[in-house]
Amino acid sequence: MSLLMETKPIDSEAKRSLAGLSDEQLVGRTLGGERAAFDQLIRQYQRQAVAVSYRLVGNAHDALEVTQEAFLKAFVGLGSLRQPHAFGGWLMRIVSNLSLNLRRGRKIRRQSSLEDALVSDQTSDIARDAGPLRRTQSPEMGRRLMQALEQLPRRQRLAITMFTLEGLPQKQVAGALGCSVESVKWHVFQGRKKLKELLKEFI
Amino acid sequence: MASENLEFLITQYLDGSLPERERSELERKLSEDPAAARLMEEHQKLSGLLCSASPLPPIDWDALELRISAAVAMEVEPVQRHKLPRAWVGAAVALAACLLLVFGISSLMRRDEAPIYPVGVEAAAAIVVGPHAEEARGQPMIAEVTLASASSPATAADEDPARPSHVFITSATLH
Repeated sequence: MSLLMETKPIDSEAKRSLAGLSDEQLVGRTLGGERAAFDQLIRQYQRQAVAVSYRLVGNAHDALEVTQEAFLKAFVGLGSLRQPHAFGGWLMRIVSNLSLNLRRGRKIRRQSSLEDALVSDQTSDIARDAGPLRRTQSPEMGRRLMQALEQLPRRQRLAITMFTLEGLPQKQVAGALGCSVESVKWHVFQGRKKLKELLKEFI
Repeated sequence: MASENLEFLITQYLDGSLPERERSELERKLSEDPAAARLMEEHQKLSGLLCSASPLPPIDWDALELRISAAVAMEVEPVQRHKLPRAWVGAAVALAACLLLVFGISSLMRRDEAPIYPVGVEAAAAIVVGPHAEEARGQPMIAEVTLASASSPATAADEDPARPSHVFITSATLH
C-alpha cells in the first residue's frame, strides 16, 4: 500500500461534481482514497477557517499557518470523525484550539514571506474577500473590540467570534464548541452582556 | 418579563435566531415598555461596534488552497477507524466472560484439593517469638521452624497470650 495518496490535477468538471456533494459524502470519498474530495472540503471551509483563526490570533500570517495545520490534522484524523456530516464544526474546533494554543505560547510575528505570498496588497480585493463584516469604523475601535473579546471566557469568545462576527450557522458553532445550539445562544448572550459592559463608553 | 430573559430575547432577535412567535411578542413589548426599548438600543449599538471589527486582509484563496492541498498530499492516508460489528463485540464479551468463569471455578476447585504452593521448595524459615511460638510447629506449610532463642527480640509484651506471636521468616522448606 502506498504511503502517499495519489495527486492528480482535477478538471473543473470534476470540481463541479464534487461541489454538489454533502460533507458526509466528501469525507467518505476521502477515506476511500479520493483526495480530490478533501480538496473540495478545503475549498469549502478555508475562508471560514482563516476568518475564525484571524479573529482569535489577531494577524493574517498566523491565521494562515493555523488553517493549514488544521486541515492537515483534519485529514490525518478524518477516520476518527464520528459524524462525517458535522465536518465543518469539527474543523472549526481544531482551528479554534490551534489558534488559542498558538496565542498562549507564541511571540507576535511580523509579516513573512508566506503572508506576502498569500495576502494580496490590492485594496480593491478587500470588499470582495473581507467576509460578512466589511464596515470599518476605525482601527482604534477594532483594537478596543479585540481587547474586549480577549477578556471573555473561552466559550463566549468562540461563540461571539464564530456566530456573531463570522456568521457561521449555530449548529456548526455548536459542533465546534461541543455543546447544544441552545448553549450557543446562551454563550452569545452572556458574551454580549459582558462586551456591553466592557465597551460601555462607546454605547 | 424578567430583565435577563428580556435581554436574552433581544440578543436572539438581533441575531435573527428568535422564533417568529416570540418575535411578535418581543416587538409588542418593545413598543410598550421604554426600558425594554432602551435595552434594545444598547444592544443595537453593540452590534454596530461588533461590525467595526477589522476585516480580513485580502487573501489569495486559490493560492492558499493549492498550498494546503500540496501539504496534505505529503501526508499519509487518513487513518480508518475500523469498527467491529456490534454482534461481534457482544460475542467477544460473552466468550471472555465464559473463559473467566471456567478458569475461576477450576482455580477454586484446585485450591480445595491441594495447597497452591509448590512442594519441597526451600523458601523461607520462620523464627517465631511469643506465647504461640510452639503452635508454629504444627503449621502444615512449614516443615522446619526455628524458635527464637533468649537472645531474640522477644519482649514482655510478647508474653501476653492475647497478643499474636511475631514471626520472622528467614528460610523454610515447604511441603
